[in-house]
Amino acid sequence: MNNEKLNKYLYAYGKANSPVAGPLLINSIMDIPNKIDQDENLSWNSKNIFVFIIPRLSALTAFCLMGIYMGGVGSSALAEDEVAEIDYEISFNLNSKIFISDNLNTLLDVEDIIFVEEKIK
Amino acid sequence: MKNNEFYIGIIAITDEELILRIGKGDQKAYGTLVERHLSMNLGFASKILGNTADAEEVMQEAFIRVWKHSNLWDPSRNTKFTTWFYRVVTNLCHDVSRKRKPQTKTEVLEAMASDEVAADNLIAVNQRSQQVKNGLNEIPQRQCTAIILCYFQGLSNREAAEVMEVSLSAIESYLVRGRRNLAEALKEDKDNLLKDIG
Repeated sequence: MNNEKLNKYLYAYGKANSPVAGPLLINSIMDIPNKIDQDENLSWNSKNIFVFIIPRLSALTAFCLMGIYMGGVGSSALAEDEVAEIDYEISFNLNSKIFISDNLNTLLDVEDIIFVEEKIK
Repeated sequence: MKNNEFYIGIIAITDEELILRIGKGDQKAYGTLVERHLSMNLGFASKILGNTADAEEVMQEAFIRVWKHSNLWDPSRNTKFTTWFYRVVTNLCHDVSRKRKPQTKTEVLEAMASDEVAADNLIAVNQRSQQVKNGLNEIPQRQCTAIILCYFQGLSNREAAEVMEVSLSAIESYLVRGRRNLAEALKEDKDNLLKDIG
């Protein structure tokens, strides 16, 4: 397609897509100031700084303190979990004086369990 | 008299002065700015989107931004309102394009075929327009925007480069590649249409 033909096509597109703004659209756009508030223009005087900064600073401090507190609680909870896990992994049977590891659960064969007991003795 | 000047008595008010007034809540200044820029930008959005209804929504959103953020306008930056507003409209159009369901080739061809039957003329104006719309959908978005800004909106390459925030050489490249790709897309589209019609 040569340039002249392309221009002809573009002209047609331009003509077909040059809408006139209808009264409905104009009214709706003109009505925007009555419906929507403008952004607040913040000037940095001492009052605004107080109003803007203090609540945010307080919230940030509160979150930091809460984070420190939760961090402390979280780490002790983790330690308890770890202890529980160790307890669970190795249980001690006082009567038979046999240490039974949880890994032995995989030994379903009775002969294997006997073999392990003999080995310990 | 320049297009972008508004005369109250003997004092000409530029768009940039109007936006400063709007920032102080001046609704009359807002009305003047709308009158100056609505039609031209509605046409621009309509050409990018190929759809008047979407273009009208974009214009509403664009003027909401003008009203809301006008008090943040910084005259020391020396930005032209027209450039900034084109940028807002372009970005909104691209958002709409990304969100909306892509039109399938079949739908376009069906529309073209029905138009053609109604017009009883294979290369009627509306059919050409439909083909261009289809072609513009196929070429990269930045090439499409560059063509519309320079060809339809009458912006110079430098102004278009400012709107698109690219270098002058980049806009020239977009235009050359855009026109070439569009010509190819139109040729393919026409071939497909002729095949479909039989």
